[in-house]
Amino acid sequence: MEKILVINPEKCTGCSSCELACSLEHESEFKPSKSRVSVHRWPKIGVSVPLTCLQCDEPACEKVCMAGAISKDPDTGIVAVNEEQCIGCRLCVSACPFGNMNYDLSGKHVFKCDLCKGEPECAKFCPSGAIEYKPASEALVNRKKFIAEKFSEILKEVK
Amino acid sequence: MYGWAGKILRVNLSEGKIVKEDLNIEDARNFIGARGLGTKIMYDEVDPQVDPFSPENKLIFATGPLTGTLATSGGRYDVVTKGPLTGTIAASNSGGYFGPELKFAGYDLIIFEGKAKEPVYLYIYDDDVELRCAKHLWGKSTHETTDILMEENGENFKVACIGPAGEKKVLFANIINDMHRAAGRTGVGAVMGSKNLKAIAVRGTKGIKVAAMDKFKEAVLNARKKLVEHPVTSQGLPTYGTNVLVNIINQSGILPTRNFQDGYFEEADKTGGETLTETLLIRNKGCFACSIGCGRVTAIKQGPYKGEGEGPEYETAWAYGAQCGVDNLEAITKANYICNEMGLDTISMGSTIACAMELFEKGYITEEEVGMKLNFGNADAIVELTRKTGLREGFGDKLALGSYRLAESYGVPELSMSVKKQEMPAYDPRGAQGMGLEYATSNRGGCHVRGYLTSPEILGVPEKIDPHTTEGKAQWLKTFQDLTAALDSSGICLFTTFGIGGDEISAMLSSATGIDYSTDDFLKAGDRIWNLERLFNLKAGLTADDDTLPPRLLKEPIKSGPSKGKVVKLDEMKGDYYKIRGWDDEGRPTEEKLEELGLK
Amino acid sequence: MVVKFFAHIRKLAGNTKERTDVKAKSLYELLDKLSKDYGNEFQSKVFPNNTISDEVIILVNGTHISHLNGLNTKLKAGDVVCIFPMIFGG
Repeated sequence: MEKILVINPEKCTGCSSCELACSLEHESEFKPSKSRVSVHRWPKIGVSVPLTCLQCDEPACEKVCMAGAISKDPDTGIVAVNEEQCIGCRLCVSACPFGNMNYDLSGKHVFKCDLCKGEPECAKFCPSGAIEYKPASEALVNRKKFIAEKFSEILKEVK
Repeated sequence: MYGWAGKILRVNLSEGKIVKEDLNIEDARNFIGARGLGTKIMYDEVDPQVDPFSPENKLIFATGPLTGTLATSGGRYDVVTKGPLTGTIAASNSGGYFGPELKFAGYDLIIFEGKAKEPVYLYIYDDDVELRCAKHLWGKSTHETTDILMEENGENFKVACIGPAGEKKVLFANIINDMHRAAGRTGVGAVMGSKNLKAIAVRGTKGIKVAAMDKFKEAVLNARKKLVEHPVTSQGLPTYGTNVLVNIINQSGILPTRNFQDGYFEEADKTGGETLTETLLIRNKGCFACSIGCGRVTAIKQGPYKGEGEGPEYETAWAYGAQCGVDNLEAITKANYICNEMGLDTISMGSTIACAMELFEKGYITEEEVGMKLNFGNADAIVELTRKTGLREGFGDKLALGSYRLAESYGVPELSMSVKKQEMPAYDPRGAQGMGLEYATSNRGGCHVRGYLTSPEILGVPEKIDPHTTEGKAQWLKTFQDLTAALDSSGICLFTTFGIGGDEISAMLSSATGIDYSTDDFLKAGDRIWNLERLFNLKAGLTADDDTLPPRLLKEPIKSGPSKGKVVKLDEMKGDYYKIRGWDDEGRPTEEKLEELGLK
Repeated sequence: MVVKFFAHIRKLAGNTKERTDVKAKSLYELLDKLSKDYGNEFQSKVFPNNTISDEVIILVNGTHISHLNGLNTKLKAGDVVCIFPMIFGG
């Protein structure tokens, strides 16, 4: 059964475990600055929100990529970047409505969540259930859309 | 380099000089990091007899090899210096996100030397490190300072700073990082203020490598599983916070009440974690890499104490609550907020006010002097006097010296509930003998987080032992002190020990650093650190006579409750403790002990 | 006799803080009665299979029952029994 990543920001305690697990998996070191998932915090009021690519059904990043470096796997649903093909134009960074496309200054290419090829480490290490990897039941898809809308509202207000 | 970042920053504030040095790996192996390594540097570089406020004292911000990793609650750092309140070695531990960020910038620790001519702050963005003018921050609260530095430098910067209390050298001023987390005890913030150092703002984008990735992950998952399955760390702490303790400690008859005049506070439930959760709690919050999340985000929506922030923790709810005879949780919480904004240690502040209340009720302090009737139970007083102490206004200037010096100035130092001049925390040792020994022998004065024997004596972890006996307590305490010293030095949170022990921690430490620490090696490192702290204190002029308790706890029996009639039988335990530690009758480590620990 | 509940146990006991209407001659009898009053969830967390759960701390007049007679601890009028979940702090 296809599983999807679900974010429940109300459960996030801000602990960074997802960023640490992600960077260990992809960079072989603890390096939140290179994590695919990022936690945004408002320290004064104690709020934090984890953000990562939710593998859109119609990815904006894929649409704007002129180099053909981004594609969505029809079987797994994973939207992946081919770093070899990436020309570093960063149009996809602008196109992603959620800011979940990242740019690696030293490597000169963009990078994003690839669901750890099907076993996301962020979900495995999240202690509070703020990030879950679950079968894509209809309820979860609805929740995902609901959350995504909320995020865009929140982001609009914050910017 | 694995676990450790491998570099240290040496900042000479007098000369404005910043040098990057390599970490001494031999010292790191033996003293691990944070509290241990900071103490080693203090011991090697600073005369223990130094005046804590002189430029010759050093101030060290130190992380451990597990700080910044996925290790369970691995976000801690220590501030190490010679403390102005106690005159002993001072190591004050804090969580939040500041410590990990320092590691991500590439540094294990920062040594501050000398004294800046004018207020400065240290700016760190990876390799770019500079001292910057902080005149515009001087006088600002910790929240304002953090806000301004994040605005000026970027919202990803993490800030540790002092408030007005540190600037004005209140002897128990603390250092606040990430707005709400405190290197709370022993007055480390006052030393920072004495150096004209207002803040550190750090941003790090580098990585931390571990030696054996798969093994490390396995060790972390194993430790986390234990924490998740443990009812305390999975349920009690996230739901109720540390303040859940108020009721059980009170019902056990050891909640110090009205300056330790009693051990039972009739209104305790109004100040406890259950009430906090029902009334002021907004949500819980976690520090870096923490699976527990015991932090309390709270707000007082209206009324005279309106405000928002974090806390109170158990110690704070007690220090301002039972200890001052106050049952108003809003006032307690407000006083907590003011402490965080001013940069004050809540335990010492609350307990110093409690001492003043007893002095008032016994006629030593007059209403004229304080400007109010300072009876036990006065909720407005705890808020107002906290603010005044932070600014050293009026009577606050006297409170700023702590309860010992306050009581001494009226000729009755015995009314200060302190050890080595630092206020004791929230457990009356007359009903828990081991805690009495713990307070008396703590290397940083009255303190509960050096060897938390409340755990076995009251809460039954790892096993239930009789709180009223003295037998065997010395051995229990040594083990707890050694384990805690090593754990603090690793960079993980003490609260993980509710669910995991030496085996789990040494497994994480070994796979992170690539150095094989067995559980015994780990405990031995703790023993080594404990003894080095002791050596520093002995050279600073402390003696076995200082390993004692206020006369009230040794002579005045507790008045009511299950511990009625009990006093601390310190003499029955102290000799035993020295022997087990490998110290002579004067509490000095023997030559053989020092040899065994490689401290010769 | 006063029976006091704390933290999660309050919820299991139907959001009760305190009871003064229960009579029992021993701790066993008390826990048995409370389990009948509050049902399965209470019993499974506090008194599973008629034994004391290792996830609770029970004090009788402020003394931990492991230093008394455990389940056989005798109770009388005027006694205060406190039931806590296993908790910690600092």
